[in-house]
Amino acid sequence: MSAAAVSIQHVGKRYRGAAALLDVSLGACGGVVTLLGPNGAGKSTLLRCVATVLAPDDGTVHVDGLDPRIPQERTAIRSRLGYLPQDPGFARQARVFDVLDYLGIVKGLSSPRRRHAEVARVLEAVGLTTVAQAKVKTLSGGMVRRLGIAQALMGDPTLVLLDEPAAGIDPQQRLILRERLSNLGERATVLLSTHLTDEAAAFSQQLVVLDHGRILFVGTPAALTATASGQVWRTETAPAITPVATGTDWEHPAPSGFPAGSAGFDRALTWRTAEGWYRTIGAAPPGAVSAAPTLEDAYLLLVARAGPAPPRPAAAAGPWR
Amino acid sequence: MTVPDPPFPPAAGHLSAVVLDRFARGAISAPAAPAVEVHLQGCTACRHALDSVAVSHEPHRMASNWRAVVAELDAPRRNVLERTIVRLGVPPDTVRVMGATPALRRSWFVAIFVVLLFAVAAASPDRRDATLLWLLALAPLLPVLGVALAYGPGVDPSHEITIAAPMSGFRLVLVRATTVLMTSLVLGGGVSLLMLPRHDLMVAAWLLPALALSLLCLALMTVLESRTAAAIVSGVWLVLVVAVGANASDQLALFRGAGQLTFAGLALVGGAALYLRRRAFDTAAGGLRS
Repeated sequence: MSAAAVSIQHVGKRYRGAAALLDVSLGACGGVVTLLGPNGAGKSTLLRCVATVLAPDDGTVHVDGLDPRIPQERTAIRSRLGYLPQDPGFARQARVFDVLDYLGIVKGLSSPRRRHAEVARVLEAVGLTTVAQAKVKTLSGGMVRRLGIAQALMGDPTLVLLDEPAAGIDPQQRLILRERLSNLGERATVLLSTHLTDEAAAFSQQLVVLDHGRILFVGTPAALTATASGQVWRTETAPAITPVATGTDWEHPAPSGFPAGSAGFDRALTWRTAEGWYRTIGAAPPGAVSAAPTLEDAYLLLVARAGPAPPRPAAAAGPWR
Repeated sequence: MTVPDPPFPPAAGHLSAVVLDRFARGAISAPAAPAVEVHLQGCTACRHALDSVAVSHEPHRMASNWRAVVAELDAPRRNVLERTIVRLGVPPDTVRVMGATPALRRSWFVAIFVVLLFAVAAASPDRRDATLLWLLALAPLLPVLGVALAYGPGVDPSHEITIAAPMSGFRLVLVRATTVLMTSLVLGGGVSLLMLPRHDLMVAAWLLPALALSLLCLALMTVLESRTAAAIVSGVWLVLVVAVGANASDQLALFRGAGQLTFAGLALVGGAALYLRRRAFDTAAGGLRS
């Protein structure tokens, strides 16, 4: 089976009138695509729509040309899908192997021998072989997360949707996970969400930045990083800025003498680095020299420029709920 | 998607590394396999090349075989109850799905226990009508409780994962609800029938209301969260029983001929509504949020 082709066209989703997604369009076929965005940006909602768990209020989602609004095609999409929700739960009293065996049945792996071998394979892939007989309640949070990833990998899916797969996983396991997902991206479409920019930069072929339900950027990590060129600065002493109460603890007005809104960004964010110098993104402080931007710099600038959520459009009925 | 084998035989007269690799893994296509074997019989160089490829595959093959052995050792063992149900002809996979929700398992055993208590109490020779009324009023609610705990985001920890799986949500909910319902109805009904020679048919008068309320609860679960649906059905039922008991000359009027016919009708209505709304179990209930 080759990687699934995902096509998302003008998708909108509302919860009790509040917009979670607004006119989102996106395409992917193979490789690792990472959804990046702050909490509440709409990442999980978008993954749920692609996973056929939620029906969009507007727009369409297609996987390999299949339309989830048609019941038979929805089942066909699900048969090629591996999905890790944001908060996956498992029966706490059940054993790890039994949980995966049950989910294998639900996923349509009807041959017991093949299903058991598949359970062993995915447990090995996430490094949980040694706890196959342990009860779920005895696992750490990171292990439960890896169990969630294991179930998503069952049945050799061609579309893998992972909502915050690295959450709670220690650095060593995160590196192993990175390798596994990178390999998986060779033969499947992997769509994952995170708010860890280093994760996103490490192995994503495509980045999608979401904020307030809107897509702000689609492209490679290098292309996103390049958008911050000329907006990251280094000074040896702290820039003269006065913190203000703006609802967050990191916003400051632009330094005096610099027009608000220069370079499309009217706030500067400054911090002292481990080496002892000061890094500023946004408007340049006096005496600053340009510094090489990182993906995180570019992401912060992009989200800060996007500003508040736009007014929401009128509600519409869900097409297949 | 299967990648076709490279052209065979190759121009140089020897098997390519790709063909040898596939042959060693047993992944060569069926039409090409005989030709490869014939070539290997007559070509020493290719046999040597195959030996080295096979050696490099050996650890993977051994790992794969070992994984299969460990998998069978780790595979879940059926308990006595599951083995009994399988012997009755229920497919093993269905049996696994039946008891996979912990809340369902607990409610199932509680329902069995309480229904049996009710059935025995209802069959007691020194019963009075008022006692029987309460028993008949409460017994149908137990399968409703079990049905409510059979499916949904609040009771099944893996609910969102199972929604995104190919197995139909309607099938899942039916398997689990049927398990609860049949266990309650068959066991409770059986005990009532055993006591029948000493009593009248009233000891079994809760069976049809139990079926009707359970089906109505399932139908409501297509638009409401399962516990809300169960609370509404239970509330309406208790109000009805108390109202009829307080106003009618016969406190058990609700459970006699006309009442039973009404419950049969309600069961049909609930069943039809459930069937028509079956697709609702294939998507997330209102409880899921971004």
